[in-house]
Amino acid sequence: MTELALDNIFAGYGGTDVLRGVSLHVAPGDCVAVLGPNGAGKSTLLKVLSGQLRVRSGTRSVDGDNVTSWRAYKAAQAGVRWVGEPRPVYPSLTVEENLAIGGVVARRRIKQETDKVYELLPALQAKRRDRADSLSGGQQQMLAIGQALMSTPRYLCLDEPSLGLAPVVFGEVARLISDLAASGVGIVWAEQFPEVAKARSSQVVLLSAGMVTASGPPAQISEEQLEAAYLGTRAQASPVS
Amino acid sequence: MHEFLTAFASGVGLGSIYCVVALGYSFVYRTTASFNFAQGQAVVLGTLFTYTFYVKLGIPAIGAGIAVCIVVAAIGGLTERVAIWPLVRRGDETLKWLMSTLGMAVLFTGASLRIWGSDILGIPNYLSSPVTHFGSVRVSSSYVLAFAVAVALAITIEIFQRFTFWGRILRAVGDNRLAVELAGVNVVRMGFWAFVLSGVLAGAAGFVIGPVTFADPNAGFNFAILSFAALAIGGFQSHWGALIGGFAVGLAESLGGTYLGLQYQDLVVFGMLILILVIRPEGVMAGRQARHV
Amino acid sequence: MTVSVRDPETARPPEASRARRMARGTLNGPVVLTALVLLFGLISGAQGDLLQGAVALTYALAATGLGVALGLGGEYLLGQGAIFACGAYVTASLQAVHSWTFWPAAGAGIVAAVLLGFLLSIPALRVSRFYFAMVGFFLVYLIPEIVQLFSAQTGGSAGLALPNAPTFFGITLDNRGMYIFAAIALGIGLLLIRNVRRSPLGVHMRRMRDHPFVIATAGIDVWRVRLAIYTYSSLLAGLAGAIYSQLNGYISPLDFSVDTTILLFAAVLVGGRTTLLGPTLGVFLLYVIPQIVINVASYSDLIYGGTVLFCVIVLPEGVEDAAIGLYRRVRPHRPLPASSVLTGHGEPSAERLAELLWQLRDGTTRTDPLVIRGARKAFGGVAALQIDDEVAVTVEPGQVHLLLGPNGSGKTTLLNAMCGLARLDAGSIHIGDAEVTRAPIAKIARRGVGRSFQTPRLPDELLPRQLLGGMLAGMRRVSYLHWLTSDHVAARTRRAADGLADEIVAASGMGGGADRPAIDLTSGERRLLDVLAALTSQAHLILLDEPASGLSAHERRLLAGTIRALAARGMGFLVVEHDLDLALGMADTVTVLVGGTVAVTGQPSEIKEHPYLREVLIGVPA
Repeated sequence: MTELALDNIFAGYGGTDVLRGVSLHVAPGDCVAVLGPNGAGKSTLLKVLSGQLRVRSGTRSVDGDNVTSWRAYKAAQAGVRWVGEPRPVYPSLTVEENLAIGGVVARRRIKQETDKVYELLPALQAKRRDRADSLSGGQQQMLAIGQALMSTPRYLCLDEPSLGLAPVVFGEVARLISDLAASGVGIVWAEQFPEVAKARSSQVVLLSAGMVTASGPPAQISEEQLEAAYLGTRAQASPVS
Repeated sequence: MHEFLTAFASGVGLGSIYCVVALGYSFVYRTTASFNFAQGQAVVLGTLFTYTFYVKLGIPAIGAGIAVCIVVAAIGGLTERVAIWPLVRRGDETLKWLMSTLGMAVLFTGASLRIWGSDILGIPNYLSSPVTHFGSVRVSSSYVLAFAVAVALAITIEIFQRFTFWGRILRAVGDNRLAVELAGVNVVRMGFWAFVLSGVLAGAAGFVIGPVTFADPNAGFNFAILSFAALAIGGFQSHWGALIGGFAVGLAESLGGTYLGLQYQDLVVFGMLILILVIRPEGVMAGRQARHV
Repeated sequence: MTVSVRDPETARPPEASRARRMARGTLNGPVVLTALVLLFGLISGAQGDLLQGAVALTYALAATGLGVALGLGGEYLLGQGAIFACGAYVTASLQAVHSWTFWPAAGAGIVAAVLLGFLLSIPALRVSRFYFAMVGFFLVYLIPEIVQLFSAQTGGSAGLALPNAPTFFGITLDNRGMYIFAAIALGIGLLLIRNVRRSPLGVHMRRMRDHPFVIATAGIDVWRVRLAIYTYSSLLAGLAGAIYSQLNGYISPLDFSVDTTILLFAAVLVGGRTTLLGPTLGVFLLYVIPQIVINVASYSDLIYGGTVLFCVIVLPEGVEDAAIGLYRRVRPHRPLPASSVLTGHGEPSAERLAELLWQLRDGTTRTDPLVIRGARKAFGGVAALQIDDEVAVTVEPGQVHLLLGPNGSGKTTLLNAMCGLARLDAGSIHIGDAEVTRAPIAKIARRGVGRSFQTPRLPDELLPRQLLGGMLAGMRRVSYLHWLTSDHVAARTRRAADGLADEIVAASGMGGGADRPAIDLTSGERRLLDVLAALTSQAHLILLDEPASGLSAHERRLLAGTIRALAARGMGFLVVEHDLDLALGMADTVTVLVGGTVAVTGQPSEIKEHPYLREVLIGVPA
């Protein structure tokens, strides 16, 4: 079974659990939006998916293999990449060098991969010889995503790709995300703004206080459930799954 | 004038040694963001093994030099496994590494004293002409060799960083360590190899300087502290910092020793270190970023 | 207040007094230890043993001083060996070269050592802890050269012989006399450090160790606390050096080799850096036992080096902590029932909590609002705040101002600017009529601005009562001499402060956590304690950054109730909070930040219905 899966995960920082029994399954081609207010555990979930955070209990698996104890570099080698804050960008390296490092696990194909990324993100090609710290916030976000694409990932975790981007730029990023999903990449992205995310995703997972309160295709997630999660009218939220 | 030139030349020679040791430190520092206290003792082990291989066992100089580098590289790897790796696994702050490698340095010193005794062991010069003449100035050929090694190493590192894949990764680790790991590089293992490589540098340094300083089991902290001073003065972030700082410390020692008395040469270095820390705490060769150790 | 307080001693069930008993244990520790040490000195007949014992006692004294720097202050004072040497050399030199008698010479030696400690603290303020450690180590390494530099005073590498042994009221102090003197000095040193640890300063030191800004935002000068840390560690090292210099009638640079410094460090690490008696225990384990059992000092370097390595890697908190950990594993901690068991009247009550906290501000009549206008701040070229020149955000007494906005909208940056943690690029901050735009953090805090942070910042080893009690005691105007001598004034102040702290803890419903150190609290208890610590001050304006995250539903209600009740009494709040039910319920005014600018300001009821809120927080276009 080809999927990236979390089952009944408990994880957090310094002895406290942020995630309390979360399960999530992503297949290639899926585009899963993780929604929920600040502090619900979206970033933590993506860190667990990409192997940055050890879990206290529960399992993580890729294609049926149990990989719960993985460290982050192993996840990347298996085709799970993460983009979030702080952005995986190397300020003192040029754009092209940045991309090359993003492709470290596929370093025999760097030339072809770089060309592919430039095709997807032409803005980067124009800046290929510039240092990354001379790019604008939006371009840096593009560069971060471009880097992750260098290794042709099968799963991509994006933590609030809209952060700090102008709406127009974010529109581009969102389009890129759904294009990638269409091309067979399994995408999990966390967003604060549910409407955009719903429009672009095939699945929605609603997190609240470290637990999944609703999940399913976007159409099945009601306004009430969203409001309950975001505006905190807790009485209406009932735990699902 | 002659006195000055002689002091200057031997200062550059001495400085070359600190350069080589400091390059090892800066390599470890940039991959692991930590200072390996035991590196100074590794240099001493380099001189001691040079004594064993070259003097005791009579292995030809080249072969002895290579053997020394291999043995000390293994000691560097051992240091990482024992003193660093358990802490990395636990996610401890890097300041603790300073303490664990300090413990390692004391253990190495103690072991050396048990194995080789506390006497300074003489190492005959293996170069064809032990003294090189620059006009009227006579310099030990070992210093010339050390200078050549230091400059060659700095240039090699520069080329490595600019043009090779792993060199780029090394620079990237300095920028954003987590991102490199997320791209699929086992940065902990990279740290291990940085320790091994710094062991090679320490072994080379020990082999080159053996005929000048001889093998003194107690000299480890001397190298550790003066190389730290070199890096602090030059700047931790680049190999050029190690080079500049190494020469600065060597010259301070040599000129201070000549004009103020041999017993005060480290005090001169200390004064220079404090001065740099007060006026330019990020080091002479530091880039734009402020240093956060 | 009409709540009747039962006699605390009888009302306290046995479990709850465990913390008190533990406190009493350390209370007598120094005395018991000194008595044991003295007993050995009186019965032992061997001169050699007494001499070795006296040496060990001076090491223990210097290590205890190092424990202050390393354990309370988190400063890697590798230069402690040099401070020790300084005390020894100045004392001996004044005696041998300048014919002083021991006592004034020792006094001068201690003063010189403390001055060296100050000198060493200067780079510590400027460079990182790592550099500071290396500079200190360099100094230890330089001892022979410095001794040589002043060879007329110090005898150079040949060493310095003392003309005669010190006398005490006409009695010449022989080995036994010096041993007893050293034991008494250690006892006094331990009592002094115990008093410092229990004083408000001890709490400040521990808070500064973990997060320097936290105590600055509570109005305390960080440099003063740091200076105190160096003073106490170098004071003990200087005293130890002065005594050490007398023991053999002769000192040379060999007495102060790098090994001595390593021994001191190893002793602190093995004994446990956060405990009072740990360093002494460490010297006993590392120096005394090898002398007795194997009687081969020739292995000392291997022992010290191995110990440092072993402790850093296997026992990061020392043997005492490891033993406690082992004990806990055998007998797991039984959590106390959630209701307060400390004072008997412990139902959590927002009203009562507010009353207790408000009493701290009795007599202060501060009513100045904080106004920040046209705030702009960029980090590395990226604008975090870009509020228009004419737009002001205010924190007003009697009001709860809620700050909302998506991630990255500048909320925390605004809070940081208000309390002086972040310097504004443009704009102004006023408290009342006073401009504080460029004022240092502690100065803004002393004008009445308090603050909590997104992540709770609590010293791991302190009980809730020790933390709050220390802060409360620090608010009383008690001369520091009282704390140092721990006299009846200090005892009374501490009792009152601890009692009040207990009441606050009880009223917060944290009774279950009252006898656990901060590291063992639940995330909700940690958060609550952190917010209480921010409120335990005389500040009338409080900035709270996500105070409810991690709290349970009833803890949230308690927090909101307390904030409301304090506002009703005249305090002002600026709260960043994502739980909108809770936040809108307690707010008087709401400001929504988007992209670093003020998007909307208004009443909660307006904001609730405002289409913009839905757009900003949910992204639904209105």
